[in-house]
Amino acid sequence: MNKSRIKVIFLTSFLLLFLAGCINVNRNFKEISKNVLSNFDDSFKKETEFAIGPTAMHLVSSFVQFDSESNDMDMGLMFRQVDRIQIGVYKRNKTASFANYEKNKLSDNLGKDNWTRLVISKEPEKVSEVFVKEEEMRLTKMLVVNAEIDQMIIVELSGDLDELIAVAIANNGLNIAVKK
Amino acid sequence: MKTKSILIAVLFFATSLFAQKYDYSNEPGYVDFGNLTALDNGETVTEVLIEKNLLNMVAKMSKSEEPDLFNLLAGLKLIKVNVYEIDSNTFTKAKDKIEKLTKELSSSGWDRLVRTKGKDENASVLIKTKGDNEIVGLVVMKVDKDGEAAFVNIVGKIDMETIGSLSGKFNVPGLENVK
Repeated sequence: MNKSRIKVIFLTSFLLLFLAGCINVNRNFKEISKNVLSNFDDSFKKETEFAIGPTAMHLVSSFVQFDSESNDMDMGLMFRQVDRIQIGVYKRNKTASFANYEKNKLSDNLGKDNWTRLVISKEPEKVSEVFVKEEEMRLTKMLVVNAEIDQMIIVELSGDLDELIAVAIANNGLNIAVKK
Repeated sequence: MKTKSILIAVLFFATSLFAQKYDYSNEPGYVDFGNLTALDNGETVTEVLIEKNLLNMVAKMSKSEEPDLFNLLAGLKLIKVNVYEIDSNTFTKAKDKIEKLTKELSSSGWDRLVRTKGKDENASVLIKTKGDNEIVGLVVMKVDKDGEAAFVNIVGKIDMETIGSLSGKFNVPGLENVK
């Protein structure tokens, strides 16, 4: 077997391993994003949706652990506890404000699927909502929806998230005050 | 007989689904602020709801470095915060809401700790006690003209000596002066 063939096999194996569960978001995430987009009158259009699977998360965690000392938040912990990240990026052309955004509609819709909203922050040009999902008394999913006037990002984390979310709250508080 | 078994199975399944969600409205310290949408003037609105499981986890995280905070959080069941940016139009509505809720709570066994009534501000702090003076609920409501209106309800075993630390730690509005 020549050297170049070995390289190709090695690279292919590495990519297959690295990308296991990667790239495509699952049907659940598609349902969630459809739900979220409809809450914004379908004015946002998909730019990209992708996922990072367990293998990639594991690899990233081994790299990040070396450099976690300098951060307030333990990034290593984050990558160790998260099995999968799904991300959607959406764009829109119109610049209508979110003044009339119905703040309980998404929570009511996702509530049917056992999502609980932790936080909503609504400003004329920005809406952020954070949801969590429990399974057998453990927080197993977190969903962050962050919509700005021309771009929206939806992130779903899956894994054993109890400690991660608690550390985030313990370190950063809830930042509730509205007046800057 | 078969239909009956299926019905029982469906009922059991439905009950187990609903049982996953804890109903805080049965807690003596829980307060339903009712409909606050009239205070939403299209400006900034923030709502936070932190339930028992998560509070316990945060408590565990704080155990070694902040034992007082651990003791406080470990007894809590719910933190509910609604904050609205207020203008002169919604100021009156917020003031009326606070006065109405204060009256309702006072007549249903809540004790008022603080009452501030001014031209540009209005604030009420109430506690609910149970048995041997154990505090099981806290409500803080305040509004500043051209500032913010905050409605806070904390449910669970509350230590008044340390509850103020939630203000610094979690930026919960209105708790800084509660002692």
